Amino acid sequence: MSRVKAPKTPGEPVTWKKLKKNRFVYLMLLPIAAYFIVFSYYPLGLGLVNSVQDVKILGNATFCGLDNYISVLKNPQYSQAFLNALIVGVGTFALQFVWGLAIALLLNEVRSKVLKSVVQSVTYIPYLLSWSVVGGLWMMLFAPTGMVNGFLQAISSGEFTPIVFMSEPKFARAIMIFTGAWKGAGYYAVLFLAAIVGIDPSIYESASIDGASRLRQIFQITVPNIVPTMKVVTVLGAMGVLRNFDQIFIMGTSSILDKVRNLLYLIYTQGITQFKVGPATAGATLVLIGTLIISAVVRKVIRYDDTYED
Amino acid sequence: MKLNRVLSGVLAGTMLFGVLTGCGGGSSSSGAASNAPANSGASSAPASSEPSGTVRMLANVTGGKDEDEMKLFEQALSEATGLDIEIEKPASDYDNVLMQKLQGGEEYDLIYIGASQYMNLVDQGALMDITDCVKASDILSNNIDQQEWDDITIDGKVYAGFNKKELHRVVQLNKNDLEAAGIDYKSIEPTLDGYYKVFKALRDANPSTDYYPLNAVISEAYDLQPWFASVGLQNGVVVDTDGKTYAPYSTDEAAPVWTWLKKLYDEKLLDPASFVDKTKDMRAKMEASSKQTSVVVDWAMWTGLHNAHATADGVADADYEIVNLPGCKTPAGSERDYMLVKGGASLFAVPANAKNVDGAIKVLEYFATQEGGELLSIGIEGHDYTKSGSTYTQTSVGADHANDHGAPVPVYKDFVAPLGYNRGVEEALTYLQYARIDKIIPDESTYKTTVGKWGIEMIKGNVSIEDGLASMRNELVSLGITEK
Repeated sequence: MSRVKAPKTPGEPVTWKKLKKNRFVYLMLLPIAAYFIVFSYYPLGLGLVNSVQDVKILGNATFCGLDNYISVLKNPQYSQAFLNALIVGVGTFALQFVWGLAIALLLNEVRSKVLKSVVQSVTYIPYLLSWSVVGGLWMMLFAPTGMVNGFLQAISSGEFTPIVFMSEPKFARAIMIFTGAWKGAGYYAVLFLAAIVGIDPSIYESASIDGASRLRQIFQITVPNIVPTMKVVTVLGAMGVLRNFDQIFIMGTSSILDKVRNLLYLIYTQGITQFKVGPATAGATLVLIGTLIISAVVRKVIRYDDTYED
Repeated sequence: MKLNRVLSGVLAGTMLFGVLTGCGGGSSSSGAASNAPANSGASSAPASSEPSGTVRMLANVTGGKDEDEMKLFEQALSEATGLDIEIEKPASDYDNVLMQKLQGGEEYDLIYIGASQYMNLVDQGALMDITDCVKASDILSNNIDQQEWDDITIDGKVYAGFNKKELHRVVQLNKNDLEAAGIDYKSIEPTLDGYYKVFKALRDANPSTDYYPLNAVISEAYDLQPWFASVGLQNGVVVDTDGKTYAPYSTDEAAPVWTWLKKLYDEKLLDPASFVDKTKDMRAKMEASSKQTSVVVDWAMWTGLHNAHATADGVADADYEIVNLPGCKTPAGSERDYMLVKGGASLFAVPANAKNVDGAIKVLEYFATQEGGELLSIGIEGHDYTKSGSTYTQTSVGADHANDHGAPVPVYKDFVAPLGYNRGVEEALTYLQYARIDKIIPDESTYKTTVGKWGIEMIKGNVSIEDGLASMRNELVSLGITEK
């Protein structure tokens, strides 16, 4: 893509000229901008202010510098929660990515339209359900009298002692990663499938004429062509790594909380149940900074910007 | 490229705005400050003249069951007090709503809070000291047991009145299952060994793999008090003679009870789902429709509700009856024969920025009378029940509302339930004398999860009882819940 610089008109700044030229576009953007300013950036600013104040639920807030940040950083629960969030977040993203990609690639090979739409709907529906439904469902399946134990009992010989999965720390993170990926795989599959559909069919025709097998076509045509979508999905996933709350709130039991309690869960506990607004907003600001850093690193590693340049 | 970076930064910020806004509305606290009277411990003046005006209430469980009934409730309360009553009752997520409303500077005259919130809000100076108002009120002083006031007094000061009388948790037993196992519940020996024999007999009578004689919510250290009474230990955090706080369940004296629970688990007498079950799961297993357990520890009112549900489902009284016991007897020389837990207070507090304190006190006074208790329990006359002379007749609407409009058992100490209680509740109430409230601690949920976590580890045998107790103690200290 080549760029041509517009010649400057004497006496009229270029910026103003551009604004004037695209005034209707900017006018249409105004409501959206107003929405984000009122509902996102203003509260965000207030949150930042709160994070450097000793906030009382009623009464004057007093400036306390970085005390809230120091108390958060000194709290060992926060460092453990950061580690938990990172492990569960990255694990969930990685599994969901592979799972979603596999669904998309397999669906692309299905010729029956009915079967294709049925499978697509079935895998996508969990994404639409709230964690209270999905979490409750999996907790039921993992219960001592649930389906998973029933299956294990059926294949075991001798006396069977049911496993209380949701109280076993050693299974905790794996369960969160698996159930999280199960819920979101259908969504990623839709994104990948949309990219696959956009691939030029003539490339496949040429490959077929040249004698390429279906498997080879998948790995040498389909996958390389959806790399830009993969990068978008990866960046979006990176932004969500530290933001998981609902799942842990619903599925975290006291026995496994040490392994899965994450930053947002701690912030909720402090901010909502204990009314400690200052440390909670400081924690939330650190989550924001952490997310920005993770996103920036991921963008650099996957060379995201190169994809959309030239 | 630069634009991309800027946009992605904006996007990341936008995606996280919820994180900050969840706790962020509060910066307006500075705005609220202008309306909030300083709560520097100064007592408000007792009501000097007949209160009037509007009383704004933020309620959680109190009032009508739907919008229409809430209007009737407000009307009835207005007529009874001579005040204009406005009640807001959030549909869900009450704690979150309460915090955001207060931080947003909204002014209420009464807010509903639980015991743990009470402690936190007093700590933040968000509640008004109403000690003098309570002392000046004959109704509040005389109609409510002194023990109730003592339970919510912090450093000699009271910051709230009562929504209802808190009951206690008792041992609830399925009488029919016991009879099938050849046991008369009144002859059960009140010791750990006595109950072990009962569970063993119940298991022998019902070997089904879906059935366990005992269920409890161990993950939150709930419902264990009747068993820890056997060694004289109380739930929660208590203060020793040196003034240091500690958790009795984490002491070495608690070892016999944890060992007993492990034995029950090993012998399939304790439901392993107790490690993850919530109270609603436990109750579901006790219902006539499932009968997956025979013994639980639950609130006294639930004895009646289990029996009422069975009756409503067409189960004959003779085929399903839940009965009550107070659990294990305490060691000789104890202050009480049995130790039961009374519920954490359910309160209406006066926020520090309340406009109509006199009106708020008037409402609290009304709640502490026979008439106020009737409104809070059986509901609205002409809607939930009709009255002819001294005869009360419940309507079908009232029956659906199960005698609960915020206070199944009102706080008025001489309250007479006009429609009586559900089957089994009277018996459960006889054990109220053995119940005491747990010491209020600000971070109750952390206490529960810590005790629950190590309790489960010990019961499952993942750690020895000795090591588990030491770990429980250390963790409670490191989290600042206890001092030793």
